Amino acid sequence: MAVLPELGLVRSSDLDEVLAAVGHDYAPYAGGTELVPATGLGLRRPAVIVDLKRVDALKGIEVDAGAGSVTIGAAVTHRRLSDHPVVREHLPTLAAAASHVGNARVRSTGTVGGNLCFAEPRSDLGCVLLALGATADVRSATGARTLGIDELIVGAFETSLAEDEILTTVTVPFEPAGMSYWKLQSYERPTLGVALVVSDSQWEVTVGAATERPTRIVLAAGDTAGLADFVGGLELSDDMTGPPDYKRSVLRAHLQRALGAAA
Amino acid sequence: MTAVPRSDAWEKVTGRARYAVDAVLPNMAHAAVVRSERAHARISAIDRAEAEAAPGVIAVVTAEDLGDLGRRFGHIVPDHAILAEGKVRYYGEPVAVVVAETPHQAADAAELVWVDYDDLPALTDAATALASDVLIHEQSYVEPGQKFLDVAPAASTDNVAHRNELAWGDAEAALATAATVVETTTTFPLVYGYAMETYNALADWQPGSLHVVSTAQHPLMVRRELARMFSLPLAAVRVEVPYIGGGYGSKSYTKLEPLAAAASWAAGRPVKVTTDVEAAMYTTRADGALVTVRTGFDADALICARDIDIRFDTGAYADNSPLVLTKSINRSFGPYRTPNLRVRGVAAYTNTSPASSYRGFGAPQAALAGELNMDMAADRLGIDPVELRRRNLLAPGDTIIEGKRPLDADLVADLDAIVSALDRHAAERDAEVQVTGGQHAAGRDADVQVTGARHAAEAGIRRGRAVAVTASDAGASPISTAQVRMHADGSVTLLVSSTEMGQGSRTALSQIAARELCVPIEAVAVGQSDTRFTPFEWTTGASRTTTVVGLAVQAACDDLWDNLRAKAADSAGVLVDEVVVHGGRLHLAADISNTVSGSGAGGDGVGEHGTGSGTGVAGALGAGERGTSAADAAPVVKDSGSGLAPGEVIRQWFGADAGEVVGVGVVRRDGATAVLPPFWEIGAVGVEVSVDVATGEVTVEQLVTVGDVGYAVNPDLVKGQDLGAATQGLGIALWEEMVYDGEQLTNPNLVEYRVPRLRDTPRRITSVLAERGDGAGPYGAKGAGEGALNPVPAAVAAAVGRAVGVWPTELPLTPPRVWSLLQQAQQ
Ligand SMILES: Cc1cc2nc3c(=O)[nH]c(=O)nc-3n(C[C@H](O)[C@H](O)[C@H](O)COP(=O)(O)OP(=O)(O)OC[C@H]3O[C@@H](n4cnc5c(N)ncnc54)[C@H](O)[C@@H]3O)c2cc1C
Repeated sequence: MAVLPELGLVRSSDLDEVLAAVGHDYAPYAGGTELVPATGLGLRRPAVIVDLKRVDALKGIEVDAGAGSVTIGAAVTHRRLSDHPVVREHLPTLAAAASHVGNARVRSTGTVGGNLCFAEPRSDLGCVLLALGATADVRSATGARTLGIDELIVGAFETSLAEDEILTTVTVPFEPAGMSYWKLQSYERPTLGVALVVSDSQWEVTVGAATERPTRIVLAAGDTAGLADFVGGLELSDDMTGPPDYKRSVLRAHLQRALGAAA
Repeated sequence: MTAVPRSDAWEKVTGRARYAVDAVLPNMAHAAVVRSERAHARISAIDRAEAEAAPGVIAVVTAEDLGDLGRRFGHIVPDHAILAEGKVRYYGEPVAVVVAETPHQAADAAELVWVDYDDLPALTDAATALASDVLIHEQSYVEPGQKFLDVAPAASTDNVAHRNELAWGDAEAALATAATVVETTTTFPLVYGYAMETYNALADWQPGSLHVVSTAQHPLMVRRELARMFSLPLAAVRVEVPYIGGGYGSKSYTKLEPLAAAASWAAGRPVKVTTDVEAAMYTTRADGALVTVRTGFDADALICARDIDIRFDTGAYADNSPLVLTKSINRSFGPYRTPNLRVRGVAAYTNTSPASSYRGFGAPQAALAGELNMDMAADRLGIDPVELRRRNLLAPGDTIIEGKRPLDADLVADLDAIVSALDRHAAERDAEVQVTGGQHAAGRDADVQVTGARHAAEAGIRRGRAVAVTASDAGASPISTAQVRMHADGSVTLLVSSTEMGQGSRTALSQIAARELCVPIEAVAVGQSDTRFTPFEWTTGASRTTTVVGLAVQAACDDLWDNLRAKAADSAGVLVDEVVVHGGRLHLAADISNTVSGSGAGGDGVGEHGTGSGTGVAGALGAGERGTSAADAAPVVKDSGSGLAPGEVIRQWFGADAGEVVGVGVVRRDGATAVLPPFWEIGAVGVEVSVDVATGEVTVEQLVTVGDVGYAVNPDLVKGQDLGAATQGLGIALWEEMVYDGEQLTNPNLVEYRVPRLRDTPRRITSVLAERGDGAGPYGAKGAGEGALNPVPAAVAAAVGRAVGVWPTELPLTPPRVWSLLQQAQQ
C-alpha cells in the first residue's frame, strides 16, 4: 500500500532532546529514502519517527589536521559529501562514490547515517568507509561509544545499535595513496562494489554490495593465492542482479584488471 | 507541416495540467482495494466486521454485495470479475473494496478484512496452464456467435483465452523441399507498460446516472461497458478523461472504472480509487510470448515458406489479448514475400496479472523471433542480413494479406536510409576515437568507475550491428467523429474524444484544423474528452489519431465551410453554389474568377481535402481550393476580390457580434478508409551495441529510426514518438521483466523493475522522417507511435548475438544473461 500509516513526529534541533526521544517503537530518520518505502511496505512499523535533519550537531563536516581525519555528521547528505571541498581534498574516493549513489533524488536527501544504519547490503558507503578504516560514533541519552564500521554493520539490514542509540558522526582517516573504488551498477543500487588500497607491499581489498556486509582482506602484494582464496570463499548474493557465479566472475575480472593478478 | 510547440506544454511544465488523479467531487470518499494474496484459490470466507467497525469506514464491498449489477466485464470475453467471486485467479486480484472518509482510513481498514482461501494449484506459466486439467475459468462466458471486430472468442474452458490461425499455400510441403530451413525460438518477457500516472478512477453513481473521471484511453469503450453493467442508456453514463499521464496501450479498454462505480453504487457517495505502481502492475501487463519461426529459403535465398507458432501468456483474464494475438499473427511473417504461410497462435490463461494491449500490439513479440530468424538465416546462407532483407521485402502496392490494404510504404528505401545513417555514425565514432585515443574524458571522478559508462573503444568490448523491419496493420476501426465550432471572431473550438496522453494529439489535430480553416494555431482550442460533450471516437490507440481522427477533423472543417457558404449565401440572398472559398475567405464566384483566374494561391494555407464542397470550377481555382462558380450577388464581396472572413459571415448572419457555426465530420469504413487497415505502420530501425565481456553489460551506442509516416503533420512530435517508442523497446531488450517467483511478483516497484533512464539513451541517434505522401490520412499521412518500438527488441537481440557469437533466445538481455551467453560462446 502506498499510503503510509499515521505516525507521530518528534522534531528538534537539539541533540539531547532527540536522544531523549528515541527508544522502542521510535525510528530516527533523516532523508527517509529507505524508511519511507520500508514503512509503506509494512516492513518497518514505527509508531513515532524522530527527525534528525534539523540537528546541527549531526550535520558538520570537520577536518582534524593533527589527527589526519575528517569527521562527518550522520545527517550529511550524499550531495553535500560529494561537493564538500574538505571531503574532495582528503577523501576524494568517498566524494566520488557519493556522487554516484543511486539517482539525484537519493543523493539530495539520503544521508551517510541513513545509509549505514539501514545496513542495506547493496550500498557503496559501507564498503568505502570500511576500506578507509572509518569509525562510527554512537550515542544514547546515557552514553557514547565508538565502533568500527564492521562492528556497526553486523549483517544484512542489521546493525549493533541499541533501540535508544543513534549514529552521530563517522570519523574517517585521510585517504591513503593507491585507493580506488569500482562498482557494477546495472540497476538502481550497486550489484558489486570493490574498494582497493594498493601499495608496493600490500593489497587491501574490500568487497561490498554482493556480500551480506562489506568484507575486507589485507594481503601481501602479489599474494595471488590468498586473493583467489578470498574471492572463492566469499558468499555472494543470488538475486535479480545475477547469480553468485556471475558476480564472482565479474569480481575476478575486475581484480585481474586492477591488480594484474589472477584471482 | 511545421513543428509548432505543443499546446499543452505550458500547463504541463507549470504543473497546472489536470489528470484523473487530481479529480475531486463534492462529498467524495476514498477506496482501498483488498487484493488477493493467492494466485489461485477458492474464497472460503471473507470477514469484514472489523473493517466495517474501523474509524471512517462507509462501506466494505465484496462481490456478494453487487446486487443486480453486472458482475463481469470484458469487451471481447466478459470473463473479468469486478471483484473476485468464489475464487481468485491471480495474486493481487481485487477481492474487496473498503470505502472510507480518507485514504488513510480506507488503507488502515483494508488490513482488517480477513479472507480465507482454499488453495488451488497455481498455473503461473503458459506451458503449465495448457497442460493442466485444473481450470482457471470453469465456465465459458461467450455467447454463440459473439464477436468483437473479426475476433470470435473461443467458447472453451481449457485455459485457452483465444486461438487463431492464418495460412495460405502449403507451408509444410514448401519447408520440406526448401534449400535451407532456419528455426528460431524466442521468449518475450512479461512487461509492464510503465506510465508516470498509474490507473485512477473517480465514480459518482446516482439513481439513473453514472459519472466517471478516469485514466481511460478509450472513454467510449468504457462508457459502453459501464452502461451494460448498470443497465443504463449510453447517454446516462458520462466518462470524462482529462490528461492521461502516459498510456502505451496499458490504459486501453476498461480497468478500474467498474470497481470505482460499484463502490460508489454501494457506498452512495462519489468514490475515488487510485493505484500505486505495484497495484498497477497487477492491473495490466503485456502478453508474454514464446514464439517459434521456421523459414524455408530457396537456392536464391528467397523465402518459400514460414511456419510460425505463437503462444501467449495472457494471465488471468482475456481483456484485449484475443485481439492482440490476432494482430500478432498478422504481424509475424512480414513484411516479406511469403508464398506459403502457416501461423498458429494460442493465448493461454495463467494465474498471473492479466495481459492486454501494449504499444506494438503483438508485433514486438512476433518480430523478436521473426527478425532474429532473418539474421540467423543470413548467417547460415552467408549473405549480408541487409541484403537478405532487401531481396525478400515486399514492394509498395504488394499484397501482405489477401483482402487487406496493399503495402503503402517503401521498405527498401527505409532500409537504405538506416544503413547510411549507421555508416555515418560509425565514421563519426572512429573519428572521435582517433582524437581521444579511446579514453573517456574522466574528470574529477577518476577514482570511481561506474560500469556502463566505459568507452567502447576499450579492450574487452565487443560490438554488433543489426537492423530490423516490421509492418503492422494499424489504425484500428476507422470510426471517428469530430466537430469544429467556429465562433463570431473566426476562432475555433475543436471537439474530439481522442485522449491526450502525452503523444501530442491535441497539438497535431489543432494543426490540421488550423490549416483547413486558414486560421493561426492559436485560434484553435481543443479540450479533453468527455462523452457528454465530445463526439464519438472508437479508440485512442493503434497509432491512429493523426490519420483517422485527422480525417474526421478535415471532414468537419469541410462541413464547416459548407455551412459558412450557406450562411453567406443566405445573408446575400444568392444560391449557395454562387459562394466560393478562397484563401480562407468567402467570395462570390464571379469575383473570384476575375481576380485569381487559374492561380493556385492558398498553397499551404488550404488543405487538399476539398471534397466536401461543390463541384464545377474547383479545377479552375487550382488544386486545394473549394468552391463552385456563381453569378453576381455583389453584397458578399465588399472590396472586389477580398471577400468576407468567416467571422464576418457568422456575425452578418446572426445580425450581431455573436453566434457560432458548427461543422461535423465523420470517418467510417468508406472512401479513404474503405479498405482495412487504414494504414500499415512501419517499424524500421538499426542499432549498434557494445558488450562488456567482463560484466555482460550491453550499451546501445547507436540508434537509427525511420518514421515512415507519409507526411509529418508535426515533425518534432513524430521524432518524439519514434525516440520514445524505440527507448521503450530498449527497455524490453535490456532490462524490463516482471519476475514471478512462485505466486507473486518479486519486483513490483520501479527500483527493481528497471525502465530506461536518460543515461541509457544511445550516444548517437538519428531519427529519419520518410515523407512519401503514401498514406490514407490527411496530406498523405500515416500513423506513428508504435512503429519504432516493434523492431527494437529484435534488432538489439540480433546485434548482441553478433557481438557475442551466440544467438540470444530470451529477453531482457540483462548483464548476467549476456554473461551466460559469453560463457556458452567460449565452449
Ligand atoms: C533508488 C535508490 C537507489 C539507491 N542507490 C544507492 C547506491 O547506488 N549506493 C548506495 O550506497 N546507496 C544507495 N541507496 C541507498 C541510499 O544511500 C540510502 O537510501 C540513503 O543514504 C539513506 O539515507 P536516509 O537519510 O534517506 O535514510 P532514512 O531512510 O532516513 O533512514 C534509514 C534507516 O536508518 C535509520 N537511521 C537514519 N539515520 C540514523 C542515525 N543517524 N542513527 C541511527 N539510525 C538512523 C532509520 O531509522 C532507518 O531505519 C539507494 C536508495 C534508493 C531508494
